[in-house]
Amino acid sequence: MHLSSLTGFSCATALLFLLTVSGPAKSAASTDLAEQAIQLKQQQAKQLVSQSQQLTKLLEQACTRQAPDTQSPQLKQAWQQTMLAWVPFQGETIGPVHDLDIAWAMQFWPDKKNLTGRKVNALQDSQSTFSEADISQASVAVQGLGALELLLFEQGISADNCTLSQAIGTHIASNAKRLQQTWQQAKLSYHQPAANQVKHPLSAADRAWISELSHQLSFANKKFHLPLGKGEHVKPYQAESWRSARSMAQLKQSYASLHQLFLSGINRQLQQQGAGQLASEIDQTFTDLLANWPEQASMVSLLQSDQGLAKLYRLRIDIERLTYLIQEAMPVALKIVIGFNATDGD
Amino acid sequence: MNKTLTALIIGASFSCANAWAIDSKQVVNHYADLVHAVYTDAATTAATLDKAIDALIAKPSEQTLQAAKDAWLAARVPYQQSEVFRFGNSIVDDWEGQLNAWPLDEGLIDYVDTKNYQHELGNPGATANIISSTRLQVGNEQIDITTITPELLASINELGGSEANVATGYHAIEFLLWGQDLNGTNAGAGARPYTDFVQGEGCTNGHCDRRAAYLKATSTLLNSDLTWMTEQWSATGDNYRQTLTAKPADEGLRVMLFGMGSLSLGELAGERMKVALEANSPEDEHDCFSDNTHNSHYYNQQGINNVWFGQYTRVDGTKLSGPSLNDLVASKDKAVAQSTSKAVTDASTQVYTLVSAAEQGQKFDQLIAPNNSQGHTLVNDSIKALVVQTGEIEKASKVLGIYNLNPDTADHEF
Repeated sequence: MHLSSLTGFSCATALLFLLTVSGPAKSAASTDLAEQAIQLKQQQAKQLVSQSQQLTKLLEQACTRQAPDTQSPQLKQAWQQTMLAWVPFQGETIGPVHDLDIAWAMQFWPDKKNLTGRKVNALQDSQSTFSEADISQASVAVQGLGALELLLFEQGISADNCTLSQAIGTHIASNAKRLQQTWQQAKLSYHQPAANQVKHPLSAADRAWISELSHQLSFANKKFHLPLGKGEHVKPYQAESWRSARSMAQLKQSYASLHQLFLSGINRQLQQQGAGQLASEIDQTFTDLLANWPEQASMVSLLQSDQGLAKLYRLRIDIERLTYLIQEAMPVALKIVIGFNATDGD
Repeated sequence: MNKTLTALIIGASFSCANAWAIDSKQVVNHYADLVHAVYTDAATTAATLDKAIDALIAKPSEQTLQAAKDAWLAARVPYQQSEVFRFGNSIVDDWEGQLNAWPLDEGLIDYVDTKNYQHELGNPGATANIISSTRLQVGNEQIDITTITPELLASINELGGSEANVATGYHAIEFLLWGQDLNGTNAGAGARPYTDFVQGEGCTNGHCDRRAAYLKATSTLLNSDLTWMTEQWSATGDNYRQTLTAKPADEGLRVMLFGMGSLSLGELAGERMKVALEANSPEDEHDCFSDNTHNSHYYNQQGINNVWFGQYTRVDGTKLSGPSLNDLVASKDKAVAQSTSKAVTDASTQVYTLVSAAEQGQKFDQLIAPNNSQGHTLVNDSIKALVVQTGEIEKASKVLGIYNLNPDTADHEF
């Protein structure tokens, strides 16, 4: 009823933004904002490919050894880097993540009932060797970074889980590659308003990217709020990466990449529309939030002490302010409908 | 506006729906009428369920158990149509968890097959089994649960902060009538024997007295909750309806649109369809004990349809209709009203295919089985239709000048 997430799509895609494999390279509606945002996405996709290939390579090296676990620290590090490279794509509602429907294949979260654990166990009970094809046919809960996290951080890499780990690693890398290729080939076109509608001062492309900032913010906020739970009852198992104790580091990356997206043209568009003050406030709030970020990489450890909770509550003030500015003030200032996303009703 | 005349005009054609002057206030007032009618039906059918439960407890048999199940299924028809009111109306959202929280860790309530029991990680209440116990341990504190009352059960909801601790409502009753569905993605629902309610000799699985008391207590609570909510939407009295309709009409429109869009996308397409489908997880289907998920989905969508067209068919067959969002949008932009109407109608038709499949022997948990590609297509097509519908709702919002769709935060200021 309440929680869980739908990261794979948003209706905004159906309306505002089409990714096509043919057609003009630059639509008449595209603007500097859209071009800069796409360039940013292309760079991020390249980074994701690079990290996931490094992870696959290390998995292969480890699994050819007598004792795979001797390479465990490097593998864990490579997993963390791949996860950080995936974060900027979380909660996307437009572009290849949506069109290829690979959000959950890359990462199934939240996972309240430990579907990841149960599906991985069932898979391991059913057979002993695995190919990427096996993984691509299985539940999304075993296809991505969460399942690999379990194998590396909970079970520990070993001869027993090597082929499964490799198959999942390869699947992640090939999805990352598809993501990158699709961004590289992306030829974007945006639905134009019907002829009888009043012309909006912002292009459909600009509105799509401005909405995207809001949708991705909703996802980041969900990662922050879910583990905090209600009142005194915290929910450490709903932290994004409780098995690797990296949830805070990843969350910081979420807000940092949103800040990047904001600075790649949305801020300038706000200034041009006479909302320069709002643009400055959003920029400053991002800066304050990231400057105040705790050093601990683990959210679970923060949730378990009063001091840690105090740090999270301090962050919450900045996050709420940022959310107000982006999701309440910005659409009214620009007269745009942000639209629904998967976190509505949580 | 004469309601009969309105109904005739709406029934004749969408394209002439804006043949009369219409204002936002009328639309919001009619919405309040519609909400009241839906909750009244939910309360009436819950009262019938309560009587069937009395009969089951008085004389447990295959027949009385089946009659209680039938009454539960009938009670779901209006209630599922009410879920579109949930998002946006905080009074409903704050209240509904006690009636329809899901998914639940049923081991909190009664015995489960531990080999086939999946519960929330870190939830200490997941195996508490209230029916078999007289004390409940919560952290360092013990709760005396010797006497099962509606108030006691209500206080146990979200025990220890976990939303999976659901002690009351439709799904608790569903579990007590059907039991766990141990068939996974194969055919078949839960198969609790009626003897679980036999008092004294013949009682199966122990504690039949407490099981009967539990079932009655949660049914009593469901009835009193529905009665309360019905009163909140009555046209007379100092209640939530008065508060809502006294606000600027745009606030009411925002509530209506946010309710439709949130149910359509995040909840129905996402939580209730896509998660279950892509993770191959029958535990994530909505009515998982009774295998009534197809109907729950269909009537959720019907609720969206009702709000858009300002129409509702009551459980006694009478029809309610009046000034609608469709009329209002059509008065400003006929093309958007027509495309939204088409998307809403198409979504209803598409989601109904899940009902047809169930009637032909393929229930929702079978459709999501890993190798059922036809089933996956059917669920995916429903998801797509809901996504299109949500996009159209956004367009309609823009026509009405509603830019910020979330009423919870619309007034939020720093």
